[in-house]
Amino acid sequence: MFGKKIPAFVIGGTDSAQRLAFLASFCMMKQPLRVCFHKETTVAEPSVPVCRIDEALTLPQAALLISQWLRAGSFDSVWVDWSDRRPLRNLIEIMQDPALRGLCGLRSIVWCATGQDDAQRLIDGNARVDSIAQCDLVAVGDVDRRTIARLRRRLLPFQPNLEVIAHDNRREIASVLAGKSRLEAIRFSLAIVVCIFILVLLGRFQYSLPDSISVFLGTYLQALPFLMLGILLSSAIQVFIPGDLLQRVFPKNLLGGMVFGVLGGFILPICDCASIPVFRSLVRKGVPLPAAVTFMISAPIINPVVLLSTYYAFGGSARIMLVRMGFGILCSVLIGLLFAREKKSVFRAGAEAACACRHTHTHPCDPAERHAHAGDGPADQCEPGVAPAAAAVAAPRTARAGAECDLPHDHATSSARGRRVRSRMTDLIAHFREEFFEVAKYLLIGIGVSTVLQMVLGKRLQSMQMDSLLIGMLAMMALAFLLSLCSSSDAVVGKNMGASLPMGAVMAFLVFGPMMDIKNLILMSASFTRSFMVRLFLATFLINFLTVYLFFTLGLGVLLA
Amino acid sequence: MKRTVNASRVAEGIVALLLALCLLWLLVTRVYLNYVTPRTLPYLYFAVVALLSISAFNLIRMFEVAHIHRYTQVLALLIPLALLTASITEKGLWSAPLIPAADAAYEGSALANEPYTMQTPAYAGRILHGYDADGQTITVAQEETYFWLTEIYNNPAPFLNYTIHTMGQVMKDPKYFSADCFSPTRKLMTCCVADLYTIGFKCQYADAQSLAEDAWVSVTGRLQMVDLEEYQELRLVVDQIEPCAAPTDPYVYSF
Repeated sequence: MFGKKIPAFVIGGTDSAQRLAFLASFCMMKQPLRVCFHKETTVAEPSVPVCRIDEALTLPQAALLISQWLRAGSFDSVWVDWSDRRPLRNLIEIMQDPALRGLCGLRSIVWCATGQDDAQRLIDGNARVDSIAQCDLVAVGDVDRRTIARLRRRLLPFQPNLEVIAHDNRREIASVLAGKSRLEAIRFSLAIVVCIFILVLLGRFQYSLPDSISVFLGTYLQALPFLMLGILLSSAIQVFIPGDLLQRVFPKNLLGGMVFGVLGGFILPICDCASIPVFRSLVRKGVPLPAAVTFMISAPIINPVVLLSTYYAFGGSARIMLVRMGFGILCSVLIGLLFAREKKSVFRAGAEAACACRHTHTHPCDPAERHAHAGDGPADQCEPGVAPAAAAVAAPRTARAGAECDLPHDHATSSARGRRVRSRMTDLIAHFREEFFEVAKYLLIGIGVSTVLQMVLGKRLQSMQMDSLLIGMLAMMALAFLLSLCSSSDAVVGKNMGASLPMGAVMAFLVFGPMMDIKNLILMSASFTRSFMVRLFLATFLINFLTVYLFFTLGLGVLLA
Repeated sequence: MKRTVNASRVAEGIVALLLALCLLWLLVTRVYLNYVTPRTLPYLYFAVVALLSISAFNLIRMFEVAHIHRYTQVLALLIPLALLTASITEKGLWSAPLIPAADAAYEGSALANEPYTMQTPAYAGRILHGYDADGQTITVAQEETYFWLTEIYNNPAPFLNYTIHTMGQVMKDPKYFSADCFSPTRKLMTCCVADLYTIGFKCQYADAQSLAEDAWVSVTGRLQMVDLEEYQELRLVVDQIEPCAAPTDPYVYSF
């Protein structure tokens, strides 16, 4: 009788009537068992047997009860009616309990949303994202196609394989219920096959495969620690800087913001790989976009490590170092200013509302700012069954016990302080891990593309005759873009390659490379809109080209002689 | 309740641990120098710690339940791990000793001599080894190849007629060298293996054509300014040349 596992389907959502309606529509099985975890306010289909789970039961007791029902009857499916008052992981734990594991297998989790308001709650991020991250399907009813498209864009970052389908599209919903698609796995595997194919192709056309792999690994080992450093800084900003502090202390006027951006770039010894995650965190924390762009563009070029390496590479020439720094500051400020009137969000859908670990961080003492964790995020601060808004209402606001806390607990207790530190550190690692995996694949793709272009085009570009300033600058900027070198050591490369080139071409290489290269552009695509990236690329290219070209055609290049 | 293992977390934890251990092995054996410069060393140790943290985080939370498993994100670590393994195998580096021996050229003679203070502005004050003012001899230690070349070519006058001991891989590309010249070259790495530059003294040796391209040789010669038809060129006029073993560190660096 139990040779084959009974398929279990979980129907979640805020409204029990919606869940029941979904069950009535899609339960095609002849002998379903409905499992209900809450007191019903809607009259259900009387012909379907219901296993009611009392809220007082523990998870193993609930699993045991369901298993007893399944053993007693001859059911062909289990339909779990799950309200969002309890975290979905409790249900998954029940389904994975030994009492049930051999009996039934969790097939699909569906989230029901009906009407514009319900859909809007999901779009605004007011629903439990931890639940959504575990769903296979969001079935939406009574909304227009545009809302469905917005919903899809909003939710996909939380669960890349999630299907968002209109309630009336019965065929597609039925196919999702029958078995999950593995789109992400297919896409990623396809990318690997393409990479291997390109590497093999390179090997067949005079480019040695081991050499290509060495170049790939060299760039990877060079970039990985700096990317991790940037992500750590970014995670620290998300976890340790409370709420809107950055927004409050950051200068409100444009000029002050730019100065802060440049100063940040000068102080932090981070290269281009690291500046992108930090930029993302700054914008998420409400730092004005022009200042954040100025920081991101200037940091890899004006920090002390880069300046020192430029000084050494050019035989102790302070002038070249200062001119490079001057161009870095000038270009980054001009590029930042271009984004001063930006009103639209620069983030890809879903990338701005939640941080990488899929929960919003604020000061833990503030009851209005409770965490809403994803399944993979840290779970130990979650309070099952308490919705964010409910928690805010439930916690009585008393007189301030501590300097910055509204909750009635003892701040002086060292164990409480220790718990808080531990919790923050756990948050930091969780954040770091999520953000790392979010961008790591883009780093691999970026380095892969850069390696291929370097092997195919790099040598040809280097051997080109480039006597004219214009052609030399364009070729060196193209080379800087393709090579994706670390800004902390590109000065020596620029100097060696530029021995027979006009100084303007070398300067264009030194200024443009750290600001924009193919690896970083692909890294940015993890979080930012295509429109923002295109505008940033064009602005960086044009401003770099024009400032360096004007400098040298106006004869100011003699300063470097 | 008997707990269920979250397979995707375990997979992620194990792959992160393996990559961390692989990186650690690269650092301890100095095999990482085949890919990046020594300047990356502290940052790579940081990467090892970060990967170990990811691994520990996953393994500690291996019982956290999930319906959706993100197995594919493991590929972000698995691909570099596989490529590293393949590359190390291809280069035959697995047998690298845990405590690499110092190169003989540096240990044997260079340290014994008096230190030399660089005069080239960018590196002014930097101490180089292998300098013997009385004997007018310079023994170029491998890790100082770039600096000695910079110092000598920047201001050759004080070093003319000095006897120089150096080593490198024979390069006699007719595009750059006449039939009686070659260069014992080293590959200079400035950023990573993606940017390598060939550097070395230009040597004058009547029997240069008899040398095998890419062979490792140890060269002793006198530094001289040779008169050519239209200009003078700094060359190392070879007194002695003999084959030698490839060095432990494949590249030289500019810092």
